[in-house]
Amino acid sequence: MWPNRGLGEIRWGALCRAKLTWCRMPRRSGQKNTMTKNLSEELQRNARQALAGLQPAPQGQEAGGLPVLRLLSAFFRARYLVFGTTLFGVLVGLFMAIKTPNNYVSTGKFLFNSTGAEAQSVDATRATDTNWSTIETAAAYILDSDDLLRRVVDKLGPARILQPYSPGGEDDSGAKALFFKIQRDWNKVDEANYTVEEALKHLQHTVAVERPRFMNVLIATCNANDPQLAQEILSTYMDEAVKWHIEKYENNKAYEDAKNLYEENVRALEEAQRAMHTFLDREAREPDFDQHKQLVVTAKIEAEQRLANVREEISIKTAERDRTRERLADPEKLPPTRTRRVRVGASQEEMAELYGKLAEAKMELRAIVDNDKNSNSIERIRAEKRFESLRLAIDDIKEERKSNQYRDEIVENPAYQSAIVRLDELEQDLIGLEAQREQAQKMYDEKNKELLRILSIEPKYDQLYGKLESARSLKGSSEMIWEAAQKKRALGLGNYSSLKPFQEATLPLEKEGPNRGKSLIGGLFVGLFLGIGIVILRTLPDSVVRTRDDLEHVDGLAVIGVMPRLDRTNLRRHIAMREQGW
Amino acid sequence: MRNLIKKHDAKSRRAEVIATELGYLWSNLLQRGVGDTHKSVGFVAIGDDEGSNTLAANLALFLGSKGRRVALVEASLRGRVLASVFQATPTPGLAEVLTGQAELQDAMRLEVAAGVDLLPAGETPDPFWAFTGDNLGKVLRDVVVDRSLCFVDVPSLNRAPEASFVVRSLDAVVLVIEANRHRKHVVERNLRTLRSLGTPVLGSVVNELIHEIPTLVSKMV
Repeated sequence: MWPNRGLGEIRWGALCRAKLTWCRMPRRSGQKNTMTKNLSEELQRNARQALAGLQPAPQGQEAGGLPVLRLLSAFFRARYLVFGTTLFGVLVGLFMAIKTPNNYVSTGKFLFNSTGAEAQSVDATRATDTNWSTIETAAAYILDSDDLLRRVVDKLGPARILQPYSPGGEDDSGAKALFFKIQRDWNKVDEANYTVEEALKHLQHTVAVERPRFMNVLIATCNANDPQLAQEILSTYMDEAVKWHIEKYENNKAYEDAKNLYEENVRALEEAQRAMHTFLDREAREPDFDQHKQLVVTAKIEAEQRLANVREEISIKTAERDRTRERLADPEKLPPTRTRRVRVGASQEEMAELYGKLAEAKMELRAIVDNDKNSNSIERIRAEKRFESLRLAIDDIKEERKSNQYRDEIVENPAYQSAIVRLDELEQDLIGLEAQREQAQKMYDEKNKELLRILSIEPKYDQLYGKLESARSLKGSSEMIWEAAQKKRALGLGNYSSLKPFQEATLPLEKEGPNRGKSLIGGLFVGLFLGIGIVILRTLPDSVVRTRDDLEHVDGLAVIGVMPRLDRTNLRRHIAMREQGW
Repeated sequence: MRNLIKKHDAKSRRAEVIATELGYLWSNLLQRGVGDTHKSVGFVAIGDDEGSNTLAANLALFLGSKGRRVALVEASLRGRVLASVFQATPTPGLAEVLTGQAELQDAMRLEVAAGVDLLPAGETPDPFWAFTGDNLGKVLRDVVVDRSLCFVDVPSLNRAPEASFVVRSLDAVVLVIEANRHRKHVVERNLRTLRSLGTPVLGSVVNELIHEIPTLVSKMV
């Protein structure tokens, strides 16, 4: 086993002899020890450590390796335990094989159409419609509900669901009859246990709904100890499932919630609108606060501008009036009269009068000529004479004026007169402008006062406006939800489930289980591995000295002899071990 | 190992195996100076009934049958068995010699087997105080005067406090360990105790060794 064991033993023997020389001989001869005990032990320890380095770990027992020999040895040592656990497993498997009733599985399928009303979300918290896969998966979970199973129990009754396993018949005999009798006895159910709760527990274990991936088909299965019972339970379950799904998927609460939310937000909006109208009527006194405010601001600016213009015009005209008064008050600057040279005779005014009469006479004559072609009519003659006399008078006056002399004439100064007139006009204008200024000032004061009033109530208006807008927003969102809920109800016309029976519950023709041979073999292997596991768990931390190798691993202790247990098998193995080489 | 050699047929497999293993043991003991520098050798176990007395007796019988003159001293006063095994009178024995109630010559049973002289345990009400003096060393020295070897059945280390006195009086000791009984750290602790007493520990003997793996499997592994 150890390649260097002989060397180790020889050196160890030499070490023992050396120790004897150091420690024992002086004492036996009565002399005093020359080496202390501690030093001796230290030398021994150093020697052992040196020897340990010369002895590598045996094959299969290196650090970290699996202790195969130990496990094998432990397995054979605990062979009765392993045999016992294996036998126990076989017995359990046999018990299960006999006791377990036949199992029949009925299968039915639902077709789940995701285009139904479920796809329409009425949940305000969801941004998008529910994924169809999620809906189908949820449907599988929903169908796995106790409420649905309780309906099945109520419809079939606990006695039918918990019907005991009763194999065999009158014709069976011999071992078969005994086997069936054992099965009937072991699976006997007390009628006192025919309760709804027990039936419900039974269905929870036997009825299952699964959804294969990437398919919109739900597969329902039911296990029972009788094929007709399995079919009956599953058929009832499928019928109830469709009804139940329709009822549960209607989701009345969401519908009512959407309705209530919408109505509540409508009431809130009406209240906000009433508050705003009251404010506008009683406080703002304008139907449109913002527009009124803008108009008042504009009017105030205009009144201010107008007042400024009037004041500027008054100042200009006052200055002009003062200058005119000053000119009128100083004759040197503006004399009231002036002298002019005029001809003696008819005056200019008289000549102008004559020319006017001449023009009238000519126009009268032309009108007569145009109306009356008769050149001898009295009116035409009279008009010609008058025209001619006026022309002659004008000619006479012209001749006379050519011979007349000029003379000086004092007349009023037109500039002076116009200045007086202008002064009067300015006085009148100033009076008017002053009236305008008073009016503009009054208008400005009114607009300013109105603006201050508006500004004082504006915070309240902003608050009411904010409430109103918020109420409008909430009403809009709840209105959308409410419309969606109504749409969903309208789509399904009261039927919200698209769960349809695709395949009715089948009548199982063959049993699904149990496989009694597998139960036996399974029990055997479970028991065997249980025993091996126990052996391994016991062996790995085991530090009991069982073999020569275990003792040789003790620090510095050489094994100089072995004595086997004196039974026949052990002696035979011992001899074989010696022959094999130890 | 409970049965002695003389009770079995010498040609039987059992006796053959025991003789072979005793030969190996004696060979190793010889290499460690037994008979040369170590005259009195003790067989000490950790607990009771580990087979140290049987091993000592068997080895004495083995050497006696080979012509050696061997003394077998039963120092285990708490579990006296050798007198009945060799069908000798139990008293006087070592206890009486140590307490001065008997002389060594009177207590020694000569030739209880071929080449084997037996000093039985004797009787004492207080086994511990019987060893507190240095009388045992003197007795052992007297025993080996006219004998080549003296094998001593030492009380078990964990059961008898006087074991240390006995061990210190010996030239060397052999640790006898029954397989499947003690944990490794127990062996190490008792080995440290033995070494602390100053008496050389020649080695260990595994007693009642069981080969769990069948021969066929063992060869395959």
